[in-house]
Amino acid sequence: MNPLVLLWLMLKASLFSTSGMGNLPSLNADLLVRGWATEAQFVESLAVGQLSPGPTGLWVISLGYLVDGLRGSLLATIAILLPPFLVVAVERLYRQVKNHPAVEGFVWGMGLAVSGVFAVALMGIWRHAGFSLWTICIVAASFVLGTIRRMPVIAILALAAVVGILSS
Amino acid sequence: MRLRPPSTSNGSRRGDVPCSPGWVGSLQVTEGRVVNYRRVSPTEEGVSLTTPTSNTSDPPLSPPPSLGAHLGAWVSVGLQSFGGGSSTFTLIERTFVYQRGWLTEEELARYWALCQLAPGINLIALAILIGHRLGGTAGVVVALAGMLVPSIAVTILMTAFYARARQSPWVQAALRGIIPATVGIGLLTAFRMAVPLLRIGQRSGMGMSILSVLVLVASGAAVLLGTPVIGTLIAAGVVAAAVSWVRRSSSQAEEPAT
Repeated sequence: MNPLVLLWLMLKASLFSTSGMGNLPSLNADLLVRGWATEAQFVESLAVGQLSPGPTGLWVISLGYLVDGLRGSLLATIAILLPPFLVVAVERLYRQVKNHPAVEGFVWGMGLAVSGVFAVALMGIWRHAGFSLWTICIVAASFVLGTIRRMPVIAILALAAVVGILSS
Repeated sequence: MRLRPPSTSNGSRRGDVPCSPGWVGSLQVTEGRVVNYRRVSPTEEGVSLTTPTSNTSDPPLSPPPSLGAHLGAWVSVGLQSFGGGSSTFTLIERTFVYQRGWLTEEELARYWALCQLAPGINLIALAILIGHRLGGTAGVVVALAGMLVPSIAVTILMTAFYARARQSPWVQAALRGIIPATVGIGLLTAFRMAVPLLRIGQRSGMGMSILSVLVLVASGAAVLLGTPVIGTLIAAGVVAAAVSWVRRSSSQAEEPAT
């Protein structure tokens, strides 16, 4: 595993996302193809990202650790730190072009594409866990629980862990 | 295309805030005060955030903090912020606007809207903007370090612990629940990202409504068939940009500006 390539893949994914988990589809495709990460590692790091404090986007640091140890988590930290600095450029630029229909349209279209692609990446992870009645029930239950605004994500995951332990 | 018509009522004006793409956020400002902050953008957690600010008159801003006080504020945010996106934003709002009085509501709302457009994690972009506003370059360093160092350390420790305990039957059993639950929460995130954007399409007429569904489904399908993800995202953006532009110019040609 070439660390520079790993850094570039993470940087690229973060650069073309506008939220913490938006980099998932791109990384998922790039790392699986190279055999550098498994679907299991993706879902494990996503879970750690949900459980740990700070932005959910820190899940990549967990992924970096799982695929390349401390070096991987360091590379991931660099990769998520740099792109947000472009907000300074966005602030300057936006004053000038904010009402241009093409800019509005681009942001809108890319946002839609991100949601579609994101769902596809999640289905890949789900397929890895198996489309059984069991997983369907838990996926549906956590989706519904997630819509309750007062329900913290960490509580949903804790509940799911308890259900997993009790059922085995 | 007009993604969201600027619905200005009497006496209120659109503030000088970057709010025009509908999903970025919408701010109405009356007499210098934010009277209606409606956030329609997706966040990491997707919880919509409505900040009722109508009755508060802006208190005078406190002088910019010393580096130590600034760092302390960010560390407290970093340590308390479980659950990402919206809850962290609320924490930042409480700490920097209400408790310390270093920022106005309006500034924070404007920064947050900008961060939705910036690449990468929105909260990091927000820390950069606030840090810079309060303390220049040193402020940026302090903000990022304060918010992220504790969280990153905990994330790495948790992962390391997990990597050691992975083989334990207890952990395996827990994962049988946690993995599908993570997928469910992720699907909810995708759903919450898509809904406001689909609504924008719906408001802009039948054609745009169909286009929005098409962009969503086609990009998912394209990636499933092996098209590179980034290329797909850019292509979707370019198509939507072109259609919006053409629509706006043709509608302006038909009916002069209202």
